[in-house]
Amino acid sequence: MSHALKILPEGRVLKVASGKILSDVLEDAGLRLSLYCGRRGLCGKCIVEIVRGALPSASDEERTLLARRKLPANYRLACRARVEGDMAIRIPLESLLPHMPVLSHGVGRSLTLDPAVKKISLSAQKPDLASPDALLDFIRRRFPNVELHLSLETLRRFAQNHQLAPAAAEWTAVLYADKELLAIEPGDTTGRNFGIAVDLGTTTVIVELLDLNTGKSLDSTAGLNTQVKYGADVVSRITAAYADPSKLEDLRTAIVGGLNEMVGGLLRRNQVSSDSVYEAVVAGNTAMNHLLLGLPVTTLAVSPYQAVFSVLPALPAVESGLAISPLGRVYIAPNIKSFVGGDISAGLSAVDLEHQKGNFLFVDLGTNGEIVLKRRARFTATSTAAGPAFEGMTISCGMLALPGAVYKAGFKDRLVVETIAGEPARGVCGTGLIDIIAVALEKGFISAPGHILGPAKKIEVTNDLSLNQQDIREVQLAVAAVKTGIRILLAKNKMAVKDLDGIYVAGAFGNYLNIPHSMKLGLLPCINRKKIFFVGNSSLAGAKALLLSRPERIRCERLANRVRHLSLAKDAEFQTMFIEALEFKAWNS
Amino acid sequence: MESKDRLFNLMAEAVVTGNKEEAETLAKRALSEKFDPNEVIEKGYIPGIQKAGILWEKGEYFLPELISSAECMKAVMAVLKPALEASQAERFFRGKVVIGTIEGDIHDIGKNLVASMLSANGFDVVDLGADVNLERFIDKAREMDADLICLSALLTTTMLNQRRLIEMLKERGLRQQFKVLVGGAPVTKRWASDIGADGYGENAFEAVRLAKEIGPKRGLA
Repeated sequence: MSHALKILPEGRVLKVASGKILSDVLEDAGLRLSLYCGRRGLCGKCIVEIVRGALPSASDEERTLLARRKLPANYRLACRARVEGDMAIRIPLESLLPHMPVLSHGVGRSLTLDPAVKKISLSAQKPDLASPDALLDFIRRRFPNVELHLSLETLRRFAQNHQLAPAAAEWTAVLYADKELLAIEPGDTTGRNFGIAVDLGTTTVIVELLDLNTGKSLDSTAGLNTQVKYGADVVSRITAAYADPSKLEDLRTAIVGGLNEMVGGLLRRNQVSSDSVYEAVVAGNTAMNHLLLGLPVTTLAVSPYQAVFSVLPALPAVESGLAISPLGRVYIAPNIKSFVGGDISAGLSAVDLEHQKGNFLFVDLGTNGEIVLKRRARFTATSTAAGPAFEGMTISCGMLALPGAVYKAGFKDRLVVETIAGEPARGVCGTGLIDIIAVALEKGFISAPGHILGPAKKIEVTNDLSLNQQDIREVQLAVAAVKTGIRILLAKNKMAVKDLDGIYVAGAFGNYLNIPHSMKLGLLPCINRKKIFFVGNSSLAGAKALLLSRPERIRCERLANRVRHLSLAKDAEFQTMFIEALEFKAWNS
Repeated sequence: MESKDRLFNLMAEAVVTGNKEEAETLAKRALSEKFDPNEVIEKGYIPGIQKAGILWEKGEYFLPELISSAECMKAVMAVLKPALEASQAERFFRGKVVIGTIEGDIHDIGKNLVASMLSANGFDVVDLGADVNLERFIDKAREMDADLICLSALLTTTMLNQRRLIEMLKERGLRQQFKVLVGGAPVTKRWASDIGADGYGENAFEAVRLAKEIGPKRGLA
């Protein structure tokens, strides 16, 4: 027997077998619930509201937990509740994982599955005793028109496997980019071809396992960048390696170790052997790419800030130290310039910016705000030092977008705030800051030049949290950096805001960024809000696109080479425009 | 006398509010009334920029307000310059400064602000710009017989060049000739004392205060 489960607010209806656990159903439907305690009914983070229909029964423990959170009687824990009849549920935002990778709509586009790694099954013929062929010959005959490249290690392993199973008739050739023979595996292993996509962020790293036969994502895991102990931000890590070159290897080992732990965990969890993973695609900023490969960052550290590479062919995995098949490859998404890295080129691929008709902005908001402007066929990129205010750093009560962070605010007689996961407010994250300041401006608690009015000299957020004058100044600096970047890019391309057909907003803000509020502060120009597209973690989405499609990779490399770079600091108008932009003001020209 | 004080108050007010036209008009009026240009600067305008500084430190003023005040000072100086040069009186002068963003670093908004605040407060400032070769700092300082060398760095990597410059001065036996002030976002008081600089300013006003304190080695020129 099955029941109809309606999910609000999206309105999707699922057919569910009776007795199934709600969280399993929702996870299968692609919703990433917050299941911190591992579905043990302990953390109370996966609450759902049963709007109509069969209210699942609740255990005493569940009732106590819900009561403690002061939730109405129609709330349940998704990891405990069973579907026992037709029902409609609403999933509160806080029950979904905050800032987990969102597969941008860009990748759902008509991306044909065409990975670099392909497996082809072959049949060995019985050797002719009179004139026996060499073992490798049946493979060479299979690809008569290709000049095969292979490593000695590939050949050795093939010979060793052959010794173990001399009579095997079935073999599988693993080809890279249709010309390189990575491996010859015994038996028919064509059904098992996996790849790894990595979003190598300065703070967070996300690793995703994909099936290269179907293009489907199998699982993913997120963790902190294990280089954090050498410094929280890009510059401090560059400095660590710059000031003491012996640290370069430490930084490399740290991140490779961290990645391998995550990859290992994913593979074990999904019962995939590392020998079936022949490729990893990494999208990260230029500095992170260099540090992963153990390349010196000396030239990145000081003017003219030169990277060692922009576009690279895929590298032998064994040299990179990544624990996938030692015969596999690691591909690094191309860096556009020193401060506009592979995370951005991957992001452009994820939204397929190149093929969007018209003029678009792509904005990735982080400590370094990267902005790319597409004016018809012409691309210009810049980076602007927004500083870590949007990540909660440099703000007296700031924090990352983690449970307990005020991420949303509005006004109803007084300031009303919402926290991530509904936990007691512990601090304010970037989107919360923007909301609070927008409300304060609207209500006249702050003047447009950013001065807190009134005797208290602070903006009360909750009983325990408040923003002070310096906090507002930090946000002004961050907003002005982004705004000035956008304005100069537009001006250099002889464009006005009205010429834009859309703005892609990538980065940690995700869907939580309040559009009218960010326009009120001047972070984004005023355009029709339907033209603003949140693309979430476009770096990961792009890494996946580059893993699943080699043609897309070639397009991405070409685009990276084509993008012009604009250095804001060198721009004569930057200072005047920046100072002007410090005032909170909506703008469209 | 009273009208003179009133005029000085108006001058200060014009600078505080960033009213450039008013500041210029008042300077012209002072000239037509044959006031001593040195006194006009010292008693009329400087208190204005100092008040702007106080408002900045209280958090009421931010960069735009401060820059308008500095712009006023610049405009006033331009009006008064011929009279100052012709003046027989002892010149209001606090010292000669060479300032720039250090080699390898192209960020210069903060440095520009310090430069304009120093000029607004009566220093002779030569701004070498950004990504300034270390040799150039030394050459220029020697050429103009500077009192102060001010080094800005906005990156933890380029900050290391502040140390190098001080070492170069030592190697050449020039360290005693110039005072060296350092500043910039990653720079701290600790860093300044580690590398043997003469001082560190947290912001433009502290830089001015410091420059006045340790400033001219030869008093009024």
